[in-house]
Amino acid sequence: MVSDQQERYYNIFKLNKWFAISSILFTAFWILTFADDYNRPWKKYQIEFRKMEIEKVRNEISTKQEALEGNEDYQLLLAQLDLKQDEFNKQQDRVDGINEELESIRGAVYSSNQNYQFSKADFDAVKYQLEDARFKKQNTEKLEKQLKQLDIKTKKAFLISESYQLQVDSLESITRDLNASIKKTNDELFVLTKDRDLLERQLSKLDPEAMSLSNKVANIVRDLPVIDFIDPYYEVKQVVVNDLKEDLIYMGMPKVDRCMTCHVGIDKAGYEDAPQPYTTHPRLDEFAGGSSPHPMSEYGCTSCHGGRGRGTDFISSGHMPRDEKQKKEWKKKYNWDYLHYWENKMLPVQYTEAGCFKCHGDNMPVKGAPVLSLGMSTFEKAGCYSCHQMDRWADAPKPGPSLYKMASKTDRNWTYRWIMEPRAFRHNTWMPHFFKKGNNSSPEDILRSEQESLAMIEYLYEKSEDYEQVDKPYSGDPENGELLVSSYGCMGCHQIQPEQDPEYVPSMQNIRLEQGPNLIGLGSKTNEKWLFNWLKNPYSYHPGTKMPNMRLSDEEASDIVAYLIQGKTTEFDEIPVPGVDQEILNEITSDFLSQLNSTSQVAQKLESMSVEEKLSYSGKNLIGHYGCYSCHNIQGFEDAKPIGIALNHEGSKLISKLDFGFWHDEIPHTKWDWFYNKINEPEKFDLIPNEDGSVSVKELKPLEKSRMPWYGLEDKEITSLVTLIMGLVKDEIPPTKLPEKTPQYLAVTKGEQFIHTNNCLGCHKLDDEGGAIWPATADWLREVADNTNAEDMSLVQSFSPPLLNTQGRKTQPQWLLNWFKNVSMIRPHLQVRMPSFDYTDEEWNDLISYFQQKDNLDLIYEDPHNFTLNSSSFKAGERIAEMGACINCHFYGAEKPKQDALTWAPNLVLTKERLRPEWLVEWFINPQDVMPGTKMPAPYIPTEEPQNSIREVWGSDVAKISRDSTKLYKSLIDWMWGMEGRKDVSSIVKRHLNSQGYGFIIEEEDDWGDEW
Amino acid sequence: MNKLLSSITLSFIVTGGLIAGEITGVVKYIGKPPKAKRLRMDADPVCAASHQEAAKAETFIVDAKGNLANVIVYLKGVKYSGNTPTQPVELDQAGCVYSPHVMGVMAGQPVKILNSDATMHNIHGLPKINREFNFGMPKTLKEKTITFDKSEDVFVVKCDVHPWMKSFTQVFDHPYFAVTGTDGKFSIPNVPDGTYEAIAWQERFGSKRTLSQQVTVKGGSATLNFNFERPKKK
Repeated sequence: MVSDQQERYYNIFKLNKWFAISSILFTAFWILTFADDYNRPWKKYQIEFRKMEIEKVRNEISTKQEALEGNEDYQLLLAQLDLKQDEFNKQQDRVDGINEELESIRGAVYSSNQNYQFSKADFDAVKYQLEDARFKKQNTEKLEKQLKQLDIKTKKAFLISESYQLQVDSLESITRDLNASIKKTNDELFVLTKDRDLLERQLSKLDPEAMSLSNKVANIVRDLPVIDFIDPYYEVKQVVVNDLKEDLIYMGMPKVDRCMTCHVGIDKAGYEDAPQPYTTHPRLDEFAGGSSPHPMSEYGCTSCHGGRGRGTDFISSGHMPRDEKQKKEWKKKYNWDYLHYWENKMLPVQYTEAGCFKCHGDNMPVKGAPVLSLGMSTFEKAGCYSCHQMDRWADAPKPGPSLYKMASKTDRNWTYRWIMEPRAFRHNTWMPHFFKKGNNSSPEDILRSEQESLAMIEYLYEKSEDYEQVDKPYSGDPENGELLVSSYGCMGCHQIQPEQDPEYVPSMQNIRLEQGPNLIGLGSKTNEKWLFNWLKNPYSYHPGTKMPNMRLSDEEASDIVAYLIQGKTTEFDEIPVPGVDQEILNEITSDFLSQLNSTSQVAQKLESMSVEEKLSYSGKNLIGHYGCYSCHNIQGFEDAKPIGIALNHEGSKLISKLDFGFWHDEIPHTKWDWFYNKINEPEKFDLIPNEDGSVSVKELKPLEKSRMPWYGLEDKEITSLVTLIMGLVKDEIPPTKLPEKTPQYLAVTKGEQFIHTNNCLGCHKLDDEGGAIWPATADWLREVADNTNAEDMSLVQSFSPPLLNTQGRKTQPQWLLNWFKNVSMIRPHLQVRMPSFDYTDEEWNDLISYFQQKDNLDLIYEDPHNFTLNSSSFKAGERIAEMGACINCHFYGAEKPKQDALTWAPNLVLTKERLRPEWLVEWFINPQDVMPGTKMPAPYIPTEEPQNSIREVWGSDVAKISRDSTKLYKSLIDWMWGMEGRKDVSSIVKRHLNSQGYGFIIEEEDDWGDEW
Repeated sequence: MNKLLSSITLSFIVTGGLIAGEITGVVKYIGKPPKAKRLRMDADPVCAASHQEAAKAETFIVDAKGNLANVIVYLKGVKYSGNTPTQPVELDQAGCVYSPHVMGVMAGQPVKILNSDATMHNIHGLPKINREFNFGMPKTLKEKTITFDKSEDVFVVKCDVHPWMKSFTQVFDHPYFAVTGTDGKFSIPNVPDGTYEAIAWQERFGSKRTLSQQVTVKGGSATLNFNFERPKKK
């Protein structure tokens, strides 16, 4: 047989066997592949969430249903509908009859209409023939006759057709009315049940139990393995944001975020209390929500949170734990590990607000981001931007005092002790520690540090300029000085806090109180003469200082000096000051000399220099080395560049560029942990951890050591700073995603920064922020009145600087500018005083336009308020003021208010040049809405009283306009605009207070004491 | 479930007033009382003229037997589903003094503010939860009615024009409160049987020094007495 003879090099049986085995294996793998593909970790979340959603919708439906059951309108409509339906059913026979009738005449209707149409067509044809014949001048008699007949016929046909049509219409309208009435009720019902019906429709898509049979089947089939690629219910959900790019080092890819695949409820309200990952975004009004300013579809998730948006499981999405505890939990629960090759990891929850900075960093504070705002505030307060270039703070002033004239202010010994250990003098100073840190604390290091300090002091004092001073004219009364310090407003920027407050919590409000130094130990630090001259005019010492001129009299300044100079730091004053150690000084000097010279030149130069020259030379170089000039004005360093690295894009720095030194095992390998440790212990990476928990220092020459100083910050401050640093990213953000740079935006952000840098809110409250001085006002009230008065918050508010709410709408801009430049008394009862700041006109303008733009006011020129003296309106206003007894509290020029000084309020003569009439109306309607807590009551206007009694009690001028509150308020404004008299009442106020005091209600002295 | 239902029914019956009673008692002060301060009203002649003898501050009114007036006594955390009285509570400004000096009112209950003086008062309430208010009442405006929407711990109602005028209001979401009279006595009627926490507040002692006691109403009545003591010096 031929086949048997065919030559084969393989065994067919074996081949079949192997083929069968491989087919089975292939099928098995194929099934496994699908099973693996089908079994995704996110599916269980979606399945679980669907259950939650079904339950929620069911609950909502039953709530709505219950509400409907209880709704009388609903019940009424339902009953009406039943009635109407009944009525309709009853009429069914009639409707049937009508329909039959309609059917029967339908033929007649049609043919009558046809007849009419044909006849009309004939008529038209003949009409054309006739016109044609006339044109051709032919005989038309026959045609005319024909047309006349056809006309009659057509009219007849039309009448017949019309009568049939009317018959049909009237029959149809009967059924139409019946139907319309039902539809109307249905429509009304729909309005009530709309919400419920929508929910039911939603449920019918979600809940298999609420589905039709075919949908039930489809619901199962769509998610079956293999065919679930067509239109599954459970699927990877994603948003693609084309104009936001993922930085993949050499290229940008559109952002694709799949976070909502597991975080299914993130943009849906109602899952606020659901467990993760189902939870609603905690700020749905601001983020993720469709109607929020940052909808998920336009911003994604990772643009703020970081992480790998394409990931669809816990690890591949780049989740990062908040601390070691959470890390352990995650390892156990998810077998979590770092997503090593993804640079932009998700921000742990404590640093989440970092994501706000790249778009909103111009604001101050960033509303809704308290941690970031504290970070920005701390960054500015600590002056980080002085050594580390940061564009956002490019124009910020130097954070430390000027040292140009320091020899007049303090002495070498104090300066030495201060540089060596600032916190030994002032426990909460922002001057950081350069010495006695972990990397320079060995006995030899300290000896060198001592000589370095002496060298820097030599340079500073040698270069110090003269400060032209006057002698303090009075010895001063310290007790009165204390009262002045507590009442004039010093405490809006300063504290007097000898000991550390164990309950101190870092906050923006507390930073406001540290705008200026804690005023302790001034007797050790400075001298009376300098302090007197400084207080009289801080700008004479340093034109760029933030300390304003308080317009103190010589007596007042002397009293304050007498009080402040009492503060002494005895322990600190006893710290010994060493002499110059030639050997160490030579080492320091040669360290710097050798940077530019050969060894032999160094030796030569060293030989030729005197001790003072060595000190001064080393001092200058050390000041350059440590970067002292970054924070202080120092001679010879006017053009020096900052010594630290620029931080503009620090948050985007590759982690491989951060040197973890010997701390790889101790510090978690994240950027934020590196930054945290660097700020907490700046010399950390100069150190080596030992097994026994101690540390040793790397082998470093003095000038090689980490110079970053130690600020003694608390955990909350460091966390906030790290939040800011993590926000300093180089992401390219398209303008569409950024806040629009409108004139309003520019003015407001600039103003916010100005207000923050200059600490306006240390004294003023604005929209419920600030007013850091209030507790000091209470202390003053306790001193001049008693505890009960001090605890009365409305009194504390009334004796604190005014609220700045609606400032832009409130004051006339020109008046405000004049007043800023020449401050005068407005609120006669206040002790606290607006200081005189020597800002430029440009700065004042920026501030004023900030207030205006913030209040949506962009008119620069406005109509003056027009009124006629002694007009009816003017008289009406006069009467309202009389009835409202404005004179009880307000000055009318030189006329003093009737009540005690405690209740006094501004001189109304000032109003016409100071306030805007539009604002006054707003103010009169309800002062509490404008300035919560103000003692100003809403003036009473008799809009609701009977007309005849108004005429009798209020007079005819008021009666004329008594129903129109706007006119009544305008009349009050007319009256004020007509008021003439003395503007400056300060001398009257002073006389009154001296002779009669405030009239505080003080509890009778009793033996209860104050201690309760 | 049945048990739950029956207890709900029971509680309805209870709050329905079937088994309700009255808490009565006296609030006393033990110790040497502080002297009452005279109010200096010369700033407004109308005020000064309305008093034959100088008016005295009402911060601490205690009689020779130690009976303490103007103490708010109330039950804490009681659920109440009954009606809110429509009868207004009156707060009069008479002789430039508030009357009553201390009062309780239910949320939603009208408060009628009267001006019995021939002078202008402003009435400035400083609640934290309810809306702050401050309006002028010229001598011709004899009354104005307001309401508080939410329950709130005691707050000050004062007149900025006459700084000595100060009164206290507390807003409740139930009717179980009373203010002691000059005899120190109070009575809280219609309290359902049960055990409650009762609080006594007096302005000099403030919120930090309220007194608290358990009281059990059983069989229609209960007695409850409080003793405020002079604070010891530190």
